[in-house]
Order: sequence, then C-alpha cells, then structure tokens
Amino acid sequence: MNASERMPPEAALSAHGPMVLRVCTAILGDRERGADAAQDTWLRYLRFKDDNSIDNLGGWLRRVAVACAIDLLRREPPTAQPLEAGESRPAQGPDQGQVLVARELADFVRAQLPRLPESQRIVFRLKTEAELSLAEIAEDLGLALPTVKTHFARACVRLQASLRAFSPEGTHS
Amino acid sequence: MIDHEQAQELLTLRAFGEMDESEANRLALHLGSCADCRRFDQEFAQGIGRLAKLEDPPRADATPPPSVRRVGVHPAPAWRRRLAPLAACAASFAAGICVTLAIHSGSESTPTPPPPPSQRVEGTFARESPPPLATTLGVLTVMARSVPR
Repeated sequence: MNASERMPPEAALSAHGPMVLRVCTAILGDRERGADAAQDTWLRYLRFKDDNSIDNLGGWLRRVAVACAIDLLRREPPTAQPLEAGESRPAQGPDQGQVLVARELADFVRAQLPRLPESQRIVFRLKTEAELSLAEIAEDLGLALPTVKTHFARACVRLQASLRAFSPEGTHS
Repeated sequence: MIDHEQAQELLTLRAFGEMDESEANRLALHLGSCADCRRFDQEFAQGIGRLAKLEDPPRADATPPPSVRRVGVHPAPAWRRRLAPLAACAASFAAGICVTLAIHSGSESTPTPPPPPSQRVEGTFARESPPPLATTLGVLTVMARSVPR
C-alpha cells in the first residue's frame, strides 16, 4: 500500500465504507445481506491492510466487496424478493409522476432480474444500482470489457423484451 | 455490418453511455437502413433506458452526514438485526406491565377531593399558631371578673 493510501482503519471505513456497502447491496439485492458481505470485506481488509501490494485501496476494496458478495450470493441464494417495493433509488426525481413511473419500472426490473443468468444479473445490478462503469465492473469481476458489455447489453435486451410483454403497447409510460 | 441483435445490444450500451467510437460508427451504419432497430431504440428509451436517464442521486460514497456515515460504516451485526423484532415485543410487553401497575397504584391512593372554601379557611386558622392556653385562661378570668354579678 502506498504511503498516501496507508490510512488508519477508521479513516478507510469513513472513506470507502458506503461504497463497499453499496456494491454488496447491489449484487445481493438485499440491504441486510449486503451489510453482511460488507463486514466480510472489512474483515479481509483488516487481515491484509498492511500488505504492501495494495496500490489502490478503493479499487482493492471494491474488488473484495464484489468477491465477498458473490461468495455470499452463491452460498446462500436469495429466497425472497430482493429490495422492498417502493424502496428504489430512482425515487428522487423532481416530478412526482416521473418518480412513480421510475419506481414502478425499478420494481418491475427487480422482479425480472432473478430470471436472468447470474453473470448478466450481477453486471446489470453493478451498473444500475452500484453506479459502476462497465470498465470498473470488468476490472472487479476479472473479465474482459467486451464480455461485460455483452452481459449488460443482453440483460437490457431481455428486460426490455419482458417489459414489452408486460405492456402490449411496447411502452411503459 | 452488424445484425439486428448486435445493433440492439449497442443501442442499450449507447443509452447507458457505454459505447465507444467504433461501436457508434457501426451502429450508425446499421440504423440508417433499419427501421426495426430505430423503433427498438425508441421503445428502449421509454422502457429500461429510463433507468439511465433518471436524475442521479448523490453517490453514496460522497461524504454523508455523520449519522448516516456511522450507519453505513458500522452496520449492526446480523444477530442483533435478527433479534430486533423479539426485543421490540419484549419492550412493548414491559411497557404494558408498567402502565397496568401505574393504573392500579393510582386507583389505590386516590387523592382526596379538595375541601370546600369554608373548610379551607378553617384549616388556615387551625394551622396558625394558637394562643397559649394560659393566656386564654387569663383572658377568660379577666372577662369573668369584669362581668357584673
């Protein structure tokens, strides 16, 4: 770890804690399970924090968070619907109508996500909920960028097809 | 030349701002001659593409207020979260017992109603220091002597 990156654990928690929690929650689709994966991430950080090979603490933590969340996802597959209805992030638009439409759309997407293959689902969540770029996702997952682009695009096309089937007019407004 | 499937995948990448220049060129060539993909583009913009166009809320890794930061950095352990409903039930049960006890003890030591105004005046006199008995007797003796027989 560089001298500039070497910081006390509390400072690291303050600086990167919300990001770690956001990434874990996005992958697992559940705040409690996301918090559990985030705690696993910080335990690994405490074990490796003096490791000189860590150049970029934020990137390292993000990769570990992704790995911990995927481990938890495979160890304990979700049994219930992910986030609660109406708890979608896009509920902060200025127009109330747009907010409602966005909420409805986010709920629809959440309901459809379990039907996607795991790789597409994880990439889609990391992009839309954790707000990571596809390049960051590719780095975190150890995949090539074109592969991640394909996963994301196919997830979008499949979700759009589901939406078209749900709304016969082809629109969702 | 790309096919419809590839074009639609590129359209989704474009909606989310993830398309590079070479992909944009290939897509433009295809869109110029494909009405189906142009229609898909419109549908996507009104459907899943809305997720990309929503106003971005502040990122969670921006410095949050201290209370939020504390919650985000130190989430409660899983055992505490699982026991939370049980603790809430126990707390409400204890509160119910306390309220019941308070009602019962209140009924046993019912305060006496305030006395009417006249009694209150007597009470006031009674509480004043009475004259010494000897003085009273002395006054009575004087009065008795002064009464003509």
